[in-house]
Amino acid sequence: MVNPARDTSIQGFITGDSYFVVNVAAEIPLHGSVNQLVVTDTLDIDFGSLDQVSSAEFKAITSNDFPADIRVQAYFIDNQGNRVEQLFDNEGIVLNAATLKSNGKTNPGVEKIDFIKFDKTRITNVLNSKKMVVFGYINTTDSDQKRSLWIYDTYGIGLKLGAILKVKK
Amino acid sequence: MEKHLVFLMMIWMTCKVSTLYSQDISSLHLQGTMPGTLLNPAMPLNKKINISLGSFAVAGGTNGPSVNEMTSKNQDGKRYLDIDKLNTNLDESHDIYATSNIRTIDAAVKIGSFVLMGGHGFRADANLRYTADLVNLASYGNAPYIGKTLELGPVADVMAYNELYLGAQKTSGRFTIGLKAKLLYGISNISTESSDVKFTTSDEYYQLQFKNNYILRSSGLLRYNGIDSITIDQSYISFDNLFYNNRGLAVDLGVAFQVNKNFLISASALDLGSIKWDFFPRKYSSIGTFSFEGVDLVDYIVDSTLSVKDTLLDLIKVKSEIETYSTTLNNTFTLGGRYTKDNWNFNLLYMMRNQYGIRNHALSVSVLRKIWVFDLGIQYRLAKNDYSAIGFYTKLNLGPFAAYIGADNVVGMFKPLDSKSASVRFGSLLQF
Repeated sequence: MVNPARDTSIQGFITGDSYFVVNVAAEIPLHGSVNQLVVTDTLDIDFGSLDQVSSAEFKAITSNDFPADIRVQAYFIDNQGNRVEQLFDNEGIVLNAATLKSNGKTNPGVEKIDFIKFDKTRITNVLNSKKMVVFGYINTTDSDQKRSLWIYDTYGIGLKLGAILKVKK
Repeated sequence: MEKHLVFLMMIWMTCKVSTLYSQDISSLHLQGTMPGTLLNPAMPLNKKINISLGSFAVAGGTNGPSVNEMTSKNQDGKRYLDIDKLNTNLDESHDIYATSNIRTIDAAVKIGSFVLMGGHGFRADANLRYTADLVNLASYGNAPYIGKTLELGPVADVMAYNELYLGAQKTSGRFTIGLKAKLLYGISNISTESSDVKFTTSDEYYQLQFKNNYILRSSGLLRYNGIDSITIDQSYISFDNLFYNNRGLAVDLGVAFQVNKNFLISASALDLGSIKWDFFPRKYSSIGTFSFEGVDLVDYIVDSTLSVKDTLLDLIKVKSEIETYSTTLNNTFTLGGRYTKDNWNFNLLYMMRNQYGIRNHALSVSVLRKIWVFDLGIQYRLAKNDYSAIGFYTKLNLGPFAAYIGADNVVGMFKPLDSKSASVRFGSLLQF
C-alpha cells in the first residue's frame, strides 16, 4: 500500500523503475470424464538394505474416494531396461470407484485388503532392479457414456502397506 | 505321629525351595571360624584370636535354562539362540545372577563370653531378569505375535560396595547373640525401579506400539546415549571413590542356641540396611506410548537416506535426569542346625535371600569329616530348576594356620555350559 499512514506531507513519485506485484490464485473446478487414461512415472530405487530378506508378504490396505476405477501396476526394471519383476499379480491392483451420492459427490472409499507374496526368486529380482515404473489406468464412472463428474480436493487414494519379512539366518 | 510330622515338614521345606540361590552356603563348613560369622554373626568362634585373611567367594548361575539348553553351534562354531530348544525351556521370566564377596581381613578377639569383631569386604551382586517374550521375539521376530502384546521389559540390577564393620558376640548360658554394624560405601549401582515395556504389533498393517513405564537408575556405571548405544562406564570405579561417596548403613543380627553338647541351632538376618547413591546418580525413564505407524512409501522409495531402523530407534523417548536415590541391600535370612559327633559334622541350612525384590530359597545339607590334618566335606543344595548341585569342601589345618576351598556345584565346574550354577570359595585362616 502506498503511504499507508495517509500522511499528506509525504510526496511520492512514480518512476520508470517502479512496478506493481500482484499475486493471483485461481480455483478452477474440475468437471469432466476420462476414459482409458494411462499415467506413468519412473522411480530410481535401491533396495540394497533389504538384501537379508529371503521372502516377504505384503498387506496392502487401499481405498479410493474418486469416482473412477483405478488400476495400478508397477514393474521393476534392470540396468538394461528389461522388465524383471512386477509388483502386483496379474494385471495389478484394482481400486474400485467410490459410489456416487445424489449430490454428485462420492461416498468415502471402502478399504480393500490385498496380500502380495514375494518368494525368494521374486525378492532376488527386485533386489537386482534399478528402476520402478508405475502405471495407473483410470476410467471415471460411466466414462464410456461420456458422463462428466465433479472432482473435489477432498478426494484421495489411501494406501497402507505392512510387510512380514523373513530374514536369512 | 512325630515321624509323619517331620516327613511333612521336609515336603513343605522342599516345596518352599522354589527358586535358586547359592551364595554363602559353602560357609556351612566354616562354622567356628570368621567366615562362619558371615553366615551368622552369633556363630560361636573356636579360638581366642580368629583371623580370616584374603578370602574370596564368587557364585553365578541362572534359574532358567543353561547355555546348552538355549543355544547351539553353527557350522562356524559360533553359538546362536536355537529356537527349536526354546519353547520347552522357558518360564514367564528367568534370572541370571552373579555375586562375589572378597574379604581383605576379618578378625575377632574372644574375651571370656564376649567377642569383638571387625573387618572389611568388597561385595558385588548383579542380576538380570529377562522375559520369555523377549527371548521369543529375538528368536522368531514379531510375525508370530501379530495382534498380540508381549512383555519385554528386562530388569537389570547391579550393586557393588565396600563394607567396614564392627561387631560383637555375647554368650549367656546356651544362647549366643551376635551383631555386626556396617558402614557401607557404594561403588556402583544399576537399579531397575520399574520395568513395564509392553510391545504390540497391530494386526491392521503391522504398526508397532510400545507402552512403557520403565525407570532405571544408575550411579557411575551405566551410560545411555540411545537405544543402540548403552555403555558400561567403569572409569568411575577407582580407588579415589572407594571410601568417599554413596554412604550407607547396615546390620547383621544372629542368634545361636546350644541345645546340647552335640546339637546347635541358629538363625540370622543379614544385610539389613541401605545405601544412598549420590555419585553421578542418573535416572533414565521412558514413560508413555510410542507408536510407529510406518514411513511414507514414496519418500522411502525415492530417498535412499531414509532409514526405517533409525526411525524405529528414535521412536522410544528416554529422559535423563540427575537425582539421588537409595537402594536396600539384598538381605538374607537363615535357619540352620549343626550336629557334631566325634569327627563327624552334619549341617542343615535353609536360606531365604531377598534378591532385588524377589525371594529366593535354598535348602542345603552337608556332611563334614575330620581326617588327619584335613576337613573333608560334601554338600547338596536343592533349588528351583537345579537339582544336581553337589558340592565339596576341603580344609587343610596346619596348627594355627588353615586354608580352605569349597564349591557348591562340582558338576558345574566340569560342564559349565550344562550347569545352572557354579560357585567357589577359598581363603586362609589364623586361629590361636
